[in-house]
Amino acid sequence: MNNKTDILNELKELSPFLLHVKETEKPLSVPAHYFEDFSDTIIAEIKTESGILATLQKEKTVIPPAYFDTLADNIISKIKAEEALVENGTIKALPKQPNKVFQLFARVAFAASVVGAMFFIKHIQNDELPLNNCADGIACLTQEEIYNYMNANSHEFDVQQIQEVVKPVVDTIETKIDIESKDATRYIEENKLILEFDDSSTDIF
Amino acid sequence: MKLTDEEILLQFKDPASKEKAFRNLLHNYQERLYYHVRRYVHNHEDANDILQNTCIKVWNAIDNFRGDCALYTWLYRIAGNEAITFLNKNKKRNEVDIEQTSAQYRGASDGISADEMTLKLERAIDSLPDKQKQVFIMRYYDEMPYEKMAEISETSVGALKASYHHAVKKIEEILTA
Repeated sequence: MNNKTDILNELKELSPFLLHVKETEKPLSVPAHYFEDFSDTIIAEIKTESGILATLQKEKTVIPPAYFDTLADNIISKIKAEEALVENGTIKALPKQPNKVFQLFARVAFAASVVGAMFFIKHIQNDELPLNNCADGIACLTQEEIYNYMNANSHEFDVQQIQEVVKPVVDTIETKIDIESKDATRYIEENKLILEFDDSSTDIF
Repeated sequence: MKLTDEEILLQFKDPASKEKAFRNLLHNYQERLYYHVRRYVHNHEDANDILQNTCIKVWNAIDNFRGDCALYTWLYRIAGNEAITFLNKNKKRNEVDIEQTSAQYRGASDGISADEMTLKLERAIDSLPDKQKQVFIMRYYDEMPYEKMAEISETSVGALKASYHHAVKKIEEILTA
């Protein structure tokens, strides 16, 4: 099998459609005598181009005589002249720019003083409000208010502390209560049903 | 009568026969190079420009040709690179051409003439990435063996086969859409 057959077989396997397109494709058209004249055209082109290049090469850049001999000296003398200007203070210092950090501090300080003044004024106004004259303090509150407050803020109270505070009062109350045993027996008899019910409802076993 | 590559290169070594050697080189390769670059640009004027640029480069660089590869391989490489450079320079113009052609032939895949199909094929080739385009042209139009293509493109045969297969599938997809 030659190379061309290989290529066509490969194409047939890959895409029979594209093989068909290849087989039906028309050859490319080229202007008459193009290839006969091409070498002359290109040689002429090259000669023109090399002619231009030769002209460009002849037109060398003109450099003043002894330019490179004096170049280093010229540069060094320029540098020295500039240094001398700096030493003599000829170069003016740039105007100072306002310090941005300082400006920031000033703004913060001003804002803080405004806020402080507002708090001060508010404090004075609060002092002028009518004071709570309730002589008994907590007694001015209703029981419901106290109960609600305790419920809502019970987590803030130390249980042991409360017990210690309440204990003397409870002890006092207990000592004041004087119940005779016959009254207690009668109370139990009268409320037997309720007490039994309470027991059964709390018995989980 | 055609001279061999060795004979031509020998002529190039003598400055007095450089022009003669160049004419012989063109005589041997101008047509193949022309048809190769014509497949990239699809019109004679652009192909002529590319071929002229290629030949001028060859003239300027032939003294440095060390013979590491065949003359034919070296020429193809220069021509292919010139064609890709030309296409990239004129990308915008080519995009406009593709849009016009697409609009002209949109939905006309059934019963279209051979000329129209050729035009569609050219536009499909234009849509390929540079490397795939080069591989497709060398294999489909120039009918080059993979080994030769590998020499020109400095790519492995395996990679070239994969690239060609991808290109064929892509073109078929475009043509049958």
